[in-house]
Amino acid sequence: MTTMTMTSRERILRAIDRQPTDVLPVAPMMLDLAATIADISIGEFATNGESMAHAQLMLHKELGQDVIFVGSDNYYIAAGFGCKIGTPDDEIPHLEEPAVENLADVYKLKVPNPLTDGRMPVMLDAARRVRAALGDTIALRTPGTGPFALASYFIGTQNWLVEVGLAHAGMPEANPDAIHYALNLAADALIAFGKACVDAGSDILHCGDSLSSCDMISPAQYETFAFPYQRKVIQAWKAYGARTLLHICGNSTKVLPLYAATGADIIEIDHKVDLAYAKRTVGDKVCILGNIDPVSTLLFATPDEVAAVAEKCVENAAAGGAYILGSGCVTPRNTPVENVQTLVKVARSHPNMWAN
Amino acid sequence: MPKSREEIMQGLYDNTLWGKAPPVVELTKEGLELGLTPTEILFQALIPALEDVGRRFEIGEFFVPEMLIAARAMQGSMNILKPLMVETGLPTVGKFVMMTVKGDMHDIGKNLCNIMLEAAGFKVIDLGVNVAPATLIKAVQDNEPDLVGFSAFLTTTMPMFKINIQTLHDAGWRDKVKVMVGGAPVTPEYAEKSGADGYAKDASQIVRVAKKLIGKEDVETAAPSSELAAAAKAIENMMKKADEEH
Repeated sequence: MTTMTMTSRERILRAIDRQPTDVLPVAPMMLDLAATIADISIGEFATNGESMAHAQLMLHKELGQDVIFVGSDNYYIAAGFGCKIGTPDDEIPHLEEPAVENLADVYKLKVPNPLTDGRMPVMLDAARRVRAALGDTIALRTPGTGPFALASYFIGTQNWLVEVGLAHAGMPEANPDAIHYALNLAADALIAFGKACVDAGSDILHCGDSLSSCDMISPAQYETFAFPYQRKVIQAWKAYGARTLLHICGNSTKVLPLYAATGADIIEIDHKVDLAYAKRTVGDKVCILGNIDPVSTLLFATPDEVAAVAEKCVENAAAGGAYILGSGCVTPRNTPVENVQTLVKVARSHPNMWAN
Repeated sequence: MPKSREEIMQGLYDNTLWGKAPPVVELTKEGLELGLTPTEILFQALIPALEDVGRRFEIGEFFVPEMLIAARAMQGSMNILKPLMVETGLPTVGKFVMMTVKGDMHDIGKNLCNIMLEAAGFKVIDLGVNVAPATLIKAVQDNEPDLVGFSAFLTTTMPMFKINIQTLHDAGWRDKVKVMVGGAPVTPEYAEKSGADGYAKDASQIVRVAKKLIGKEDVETAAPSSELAAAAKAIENMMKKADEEH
């Protein structure tokens, strides 16, 4: 183990700012795994800020990773728009009914208040509690879903993708104005929530928009319907003084330069993207976080295998700094803790030998 | 200027492929007036178009929105053809029980798979989303399928594959059905570790894998009209259902 001379928060902020760090920063994406460690139900974790903070603090005690991510699911803002969200005790919350039936009805929707609506107050409460418990030693990441995903919940994701298809193909029955109106509404809601997160002590605002992955929509559709709104949200968040993170899982290889062009400080990419390629392509513009497979590696591999995969990531992306070791998507809730501990151990074993 | 039968068939194919719903409806009506049979329209225009959609999706030329608008365009024609179709009593390629696993509400991918399977002549029994192992066993007992398919969209629900397979085993059904699994985060390695017989990366591959698993890879698409009615229903349901994303 190399000597650690920085707090986790310093380490992460310096990595984002392309400054040398004492050891390699490490921040796997962990949400409901914390509920498992704290032995509380997923339902309680997702709906009670105190429980969420308590669980994340327990997980952090086990692991000592550099970032705590409060959050549980993608629907805590959607609920504020009037979407019906199911919150069963044993599963993460899910969309039960969209806010309106037809795209043309999105004009009736109003941007919710982050301090009172949906489950946004739960996330803010959890953020404040984590900050109060650990002070400035930890980097705090708060959720923010993404504008393309959030807008899809207004009318249901499948309907939304049909509408995007019709609009993109220029069909006579398409309603591109309403699509862009919905996207602006979603972006405005995210901007307001991001401000509340900054006020609650957040360091890193997370724009998670995996519905806009190139596994789902084409690069051209991404550029028209997702990118401008992700950029809008991220730029507004940065104006509040926050660091920003763009999370889109799936194969993003073709649109990596657009991800960087959103202005995000960090992009979190998953194992479907070649890490060395990402580093070569956008590594000089943006801090890269990833790209360990949360399922085949973190959930199923042995600690030795995890270490080997992590070392490979270091080899591919750590040179030159601005790299954080982590998973490309959420670490499953039944992941063996030793596997994540191994990931942290690998990061800690690498001194700041790559900085120039 | 009146169109020829060939022009109508080509128009149905092209407009379905590109997801243009209004002309597909118009051409279906014109074709019927000109004496085209529902079976001709379905087998020689709509289904080949949908297969072309699947092929384009597989090579990365089409994405989910293109698949969905093509299915929507086909639905318009099916609504007209369905009442005209009569039972022909042809055998099906195989019976397929399909479901999204317990704890998971995602169904876009599963619905696309149903459309592809039904278009290829499978009888699909769709159990919907968030399906408990006990419901699966009941459906298997009631329908005696050749294959069962489990879909999962979340890393947190993928472990249900193994649990479902164990449940099939405990109920004495494991050796009587082939198990396929799929979903965005699922890999071939994960499918194998779960104990599944087959894996399809997405809807474009499912027919090929399913036919191979039951030794019918040589059977050409030969869906009887009752199955096409089911396909129409699947498309209808799909267009109605809302979905979600993680």
